[in-house]
Amino acid sequence: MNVIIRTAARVMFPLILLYGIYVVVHGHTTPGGTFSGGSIMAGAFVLFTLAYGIRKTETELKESIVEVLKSVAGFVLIMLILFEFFLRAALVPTESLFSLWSGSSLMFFNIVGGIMVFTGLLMVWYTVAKSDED
Amino acid sequence: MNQKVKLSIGLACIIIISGYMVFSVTSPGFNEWPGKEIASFFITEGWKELAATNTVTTIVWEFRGYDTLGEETILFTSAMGIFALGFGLFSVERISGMKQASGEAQEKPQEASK
Repeated sequence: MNVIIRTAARVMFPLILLYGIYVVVHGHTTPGGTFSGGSIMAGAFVLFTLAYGIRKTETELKESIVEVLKSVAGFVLIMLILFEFFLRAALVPTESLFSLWSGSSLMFFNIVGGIMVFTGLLMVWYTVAKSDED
Repeated sequence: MNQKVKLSIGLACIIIISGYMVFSVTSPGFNEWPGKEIASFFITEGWKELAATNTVTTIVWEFRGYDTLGEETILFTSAMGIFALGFGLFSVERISGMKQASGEAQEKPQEASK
């Protein structure tokens, strides 16, 4: 790609990633959540791949790490949903609304689900981008 | 098929489907569905359950958490399927039995896929 797209992707990549993390973490107070935040985070990597190619993207985040992260996140999500009762008994929901520490167990669900959506979309994108290279 | 026949069939489909939708919405008893009380419970009392202001997230992860687990399983399975297809863990040709047909029939699907 030309220098305009490469410079814009280099500048925008951490900002888009940070915005995705913000949407995931604030999923219980503001609109958004796991699917939208994970899609935004995966879109940052898609933009980076379109500008720099798949080989330089894999120096940022290897595909083997993505696979391990997705499997671990799926296991943790199943454990969280199965033992959600004990988690809510341990966490007392605070009454301060509109703050980051308001939803008792929702933040864990949002973070783990966001990682799962992010890695799932990224795995699909890596596979498609690598099959184009052969 | 003639162009006018296609156009008339499309128009008829649009009229029938939109007419059915308008009829079903305006028919008596449309707004009386079972479980209407639980919807008002979600709106008025749902945020007190976890002290979270985003009611959609509360419903998605709290009141129907097992459904969301199924959604994540669907995402996981589709990603695994695309991963397996892309890295040749199984091939479409071997499953459909196209590889056994030798000669020209073998080359045609490969050309079409590329």
